[in-house]
Amino acid sequence: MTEALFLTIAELGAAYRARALSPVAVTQGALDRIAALDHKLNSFITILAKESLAEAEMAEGELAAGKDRGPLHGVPIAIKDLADMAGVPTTCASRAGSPRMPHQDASVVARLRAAGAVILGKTNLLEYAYGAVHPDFGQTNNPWDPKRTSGGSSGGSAAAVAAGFCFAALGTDTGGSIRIPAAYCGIVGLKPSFGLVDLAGVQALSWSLDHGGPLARSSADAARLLEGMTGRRFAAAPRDLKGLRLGNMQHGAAAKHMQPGVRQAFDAVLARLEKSGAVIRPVSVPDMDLAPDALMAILEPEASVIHQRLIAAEPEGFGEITRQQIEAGFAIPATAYVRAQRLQRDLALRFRRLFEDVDALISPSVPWVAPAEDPALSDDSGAGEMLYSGLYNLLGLPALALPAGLTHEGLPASLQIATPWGADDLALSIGAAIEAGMTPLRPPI
Amino acid sequence: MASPKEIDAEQLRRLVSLGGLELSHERAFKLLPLASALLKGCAHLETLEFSAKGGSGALPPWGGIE
Repeated sequence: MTEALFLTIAELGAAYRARALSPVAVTQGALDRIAALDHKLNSFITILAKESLAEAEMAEGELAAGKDRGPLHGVPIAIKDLADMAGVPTTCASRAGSPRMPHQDASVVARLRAAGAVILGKTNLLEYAYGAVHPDFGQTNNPWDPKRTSGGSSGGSAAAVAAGFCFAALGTDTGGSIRIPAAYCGIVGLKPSFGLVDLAGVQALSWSLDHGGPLARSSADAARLLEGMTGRRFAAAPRDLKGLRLGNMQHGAAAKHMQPGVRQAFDAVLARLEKSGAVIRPVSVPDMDLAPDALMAILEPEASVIHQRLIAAEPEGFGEITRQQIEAGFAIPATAYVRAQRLQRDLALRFRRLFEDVDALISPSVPWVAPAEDPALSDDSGAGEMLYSGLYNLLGLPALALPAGLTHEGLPASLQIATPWGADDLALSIGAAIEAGMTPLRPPI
Repeated sequence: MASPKEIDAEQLRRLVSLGGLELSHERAFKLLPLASALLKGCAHLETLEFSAKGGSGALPPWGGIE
C-alpha cells in the first residue's frame, strides 16, 4: 500500500476507476501510515479516522454507481488546522481562544468536500500562522531529517504530503507559509493570486496579505487541489520552454543569506532551462529590497487588530513569541502602515511593467535548506527566510515553489516561479515543464 | 520624543496603549528588543518618496491598476 500512497492524483484516480485500488483501502493505508510514522513528524493535530473512512466508503459507493465527482473523488487530503470544519475542533495550534468548535465548514473545505475529497485530519502549524511554535503543540519535524523543521507556518501540511500521509493539503501563506515549508520538505506549494481562494471560515493573520493554496507532490496535483478549492479549471499542462522569457530576480540581500548548495541547485535548473530554449536575464525593480519591511509594517498591525480581543483576554494562552509579536504590532505607527501600502502599490505598477518584458520571474524559494528550528519572524534570519517569498504576498502575484533537486547534504532545494496576477495556470504549467526534466523527490522516512 | 529606534520601555508602553492595548511596564520592557527591531524596519520606509499627485482611489495592489 505504501507505493499507492505516492501515486499522483491522476494515477490514483485512474486506479480507482479501473477498480485496481479502492478509496477505503487507500484511506485505511494512509491512516495506518500516519499511525506508524507521525510520532516522528508531529504533522497532525487531529486525525479523523472514523470520519475519513466513512467519506471514503461514500466515495467508493458513488464511483461504483457511476456518480463521479471528478479528480479529487476519494482522494485523501489534509486541512491546515486554522480552517474550520463543522464539528471538528479548530486549534490554530494555540491555547488562546482554542479549541473552538465550528458549526460550519470554511468555504474552501466545503468546496473540497463537494469535490469528493476525503479529509484525513487537521495539520499542525505555527501558532495562529504567526511564525512561532506553541510549546504545547510542538514543532513539525522534517521527513528528510526529523532533527530539522518542516518550516512554517503550513509545516504540518507540507510534512504530511511529503511523507505520503496524504496526496495534497490545504495551506495558507502570508509571507511564505505555503512555499517555505514546501521548499524545506521537497514538494510543490502554490500561493495563488490574491483573492482566488475564498478564505471565509479560515483564521486570518493579515487581511491584506493572506492567501489560501495547495501543497502537493507535483504541479499537476497542486492544480487538482486548486480546482477543488476554487471550482475553476487549471490545466497545468507542461509548457514548451522554448522562447519562454524568464526574469532571474536579483535581490540585494541574497548574497548575505544564500547557502552555496541552494545556489548550486538553482543554477543547475537555470542551465537546464536555458538548454531547453528559455531566455533568462537578470531583473530587479527599484525599492523591491524594502518589501520585507513593508510586509512587516502591514502584517504586524493587522495581526494585532485581528487578535486584539484575544490578547487582552487570554495573553497567557499564546506562546511567548507569538504574544510578543501581537503586542508589538500595536506600536507600529499609522504612517509606516501607509508608507508600506504606497510602496505596495508602486511596486505593483513596476512589476506590471516588468511583465511586459518577461513571462515569469524565477528565483530560489528560500536561500537555505531546512534549519533545525524556524527562525524568528522579525529578526534578520526571518527576513532572510522570507526574502524571496514575501514580495509576492505584498504584490498578490501567484508564486509556485517546486523542488530544485537535493543539495550535497541530501536536503531539498527549491525554486520559485512568479507570474502576473491571475496567471496561476502559467505558473503551474511552467512548474510542470520543469518537473518533467527532474527526478521526483521522496524523503527517506 | 526620542526616535523610535531609541525607544525606551515607558515610551513603548504608551505607544502600545495608543494602539489599543494596555501593557505593564515590565511587559513593555520584555517587548523592547522586538518592538525596536520592528520600528527600525518601519524607519527604513521613511527613505521612500511618494508622488503627491494622483494615485487616489481604492485601487488594489493586484490587477486592475492602470
